[in-house]
Amino acid sequence: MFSTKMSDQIECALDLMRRLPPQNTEENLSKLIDLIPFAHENLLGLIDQPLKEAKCSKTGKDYLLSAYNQDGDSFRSPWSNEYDPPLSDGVQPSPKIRKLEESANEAFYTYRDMYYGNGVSSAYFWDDQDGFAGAIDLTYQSFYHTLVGDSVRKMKGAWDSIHVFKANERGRNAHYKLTSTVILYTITSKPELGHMNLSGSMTRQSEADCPFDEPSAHIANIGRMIEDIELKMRNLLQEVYFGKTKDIVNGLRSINSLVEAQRQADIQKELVGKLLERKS
Amino acid sequence: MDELNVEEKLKIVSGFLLESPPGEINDVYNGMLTFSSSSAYGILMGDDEEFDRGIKQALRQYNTEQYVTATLPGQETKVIVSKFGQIEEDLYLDPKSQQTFKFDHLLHTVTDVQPYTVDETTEHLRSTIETAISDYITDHYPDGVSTVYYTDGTYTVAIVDDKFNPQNLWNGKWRSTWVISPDSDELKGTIKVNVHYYEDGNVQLNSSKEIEITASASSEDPAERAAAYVKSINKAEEDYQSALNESYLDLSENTFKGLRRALPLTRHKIDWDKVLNYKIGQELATKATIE
Repeated sequence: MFSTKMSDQIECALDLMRRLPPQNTEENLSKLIDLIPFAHENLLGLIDQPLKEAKCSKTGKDYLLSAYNQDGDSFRSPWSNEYDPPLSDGVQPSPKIRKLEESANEAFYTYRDMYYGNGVSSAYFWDDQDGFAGAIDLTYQSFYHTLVGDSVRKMKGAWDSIHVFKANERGRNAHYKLTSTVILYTITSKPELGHMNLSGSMTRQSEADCPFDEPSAHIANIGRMIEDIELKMRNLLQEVYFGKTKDIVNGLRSINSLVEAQRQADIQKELVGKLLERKS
Repeated sequence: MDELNVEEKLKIVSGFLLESPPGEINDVYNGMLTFSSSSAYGILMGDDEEFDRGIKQALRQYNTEQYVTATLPGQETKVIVSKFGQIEEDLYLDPKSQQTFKFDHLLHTVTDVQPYTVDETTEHLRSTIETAISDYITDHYPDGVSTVYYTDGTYTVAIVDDKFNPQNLWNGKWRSTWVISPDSDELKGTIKVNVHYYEDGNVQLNSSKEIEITASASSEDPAERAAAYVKSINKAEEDYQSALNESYLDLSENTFKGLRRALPLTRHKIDWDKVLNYKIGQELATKATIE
């Protein structure tokens, strides 16, 4: 028996998570970690899980729980900067980065309002080599129960955006590297359809160099990048979810008669053949 | 963390294998092999008899649930490997050619093909349904395979259509099962549609419906009865496909648009400088009012 390299195992784990149903990401990730415990930290950082909400006990505002504000079993509220359950020595951003984090939370609260109308947003920043890094999380869920005649139609949808960036200051310019993941769930139940679950996630990376004259310009720069990539990803999700997978379904079974379609094609061919014969 | 025992590892690995998207069991299986080759945390594949037996059981369950198909020597049509044709652990029946065969659930190979004597009293109606279903498959399933079984007083129609396109990072599978009670002409059906799209992501459609219908098979003539069953199946499957297509439209037009807007209500992108100054402006305004 030989020992496979750690990187191979991580790559293999990522490939596995790309195949297993996104509907069960949380359960499968925890099973995978049980199976290859040495990869624990790597996997948590590499696989995005659906976002969970919590209420900040100090400010009463909602915030999101993710790997980026977690220390042990506690989560840091971006509004109060305090851990829940309380931690005396929890990881904190430096005062300078915390100030930026506060502005980012205010700015993305407005962003969330304008694009999502509702939902929860959180920004988490941390100090990093040659600059800082952060995660912007956004989530929105919708539920519909409509009664049509005597049949109940149930619909549930959830959108989670997870943007992780690295900002490196280079003189008067900053280089930003952004990895954006959108997790989109849609679940529909109604009598004529049965149960339909169309869910998953897509990831995109983008990079940009932007000038910054003051620290708060970072927020505007990152904000514009996130705004652009979310619009692109929204279009991509629309195309993949409601275009591509639908085409695949209709390629598996044809509502129209394939025999009739073939007959029409044969007649067409014959007509063209006769026409060519007459011309020659 | 304590290392898991054999049983716990087997449960996780089997679970992963059973959750493999259509056409991707080999990829998941090979992934498990990669994990198992780490000496420190080996997951025992090829190392432990009990473990390997468990893995084989998972593969068998996956293949029979997924309606994996096999080609018997000399046969023009494929046969579905399913529990309805299962005689022994890895021994299956092809009702059409009236033969049994051994199926290897890892390699998907067929061996040990033997003639099989079918029950003559039920064979006529079974083969008549088979012919009618076969015409229906040709008419509506581009890559469809069907098998019609007789078991315990009922006829079971299994249909599968696979489209595997790993080069373009997507796979799809349609499965339907119809259990026909010839005495009441009742049909109990299940339709399952699964699609996996994994270019820069992992998007899956898991869709299923249970259906109960009664065919209007008034005649005793097997050909007419088979035609009535297939007509009912066609209608139910067409209705289902239409409902699925409608739901796609509904999701795209309503659910999706309600989650995140393409643009804010102002129809303009955000003015980030304004957003950042907004807070400061608001604070100044509040201060001004207080003062």
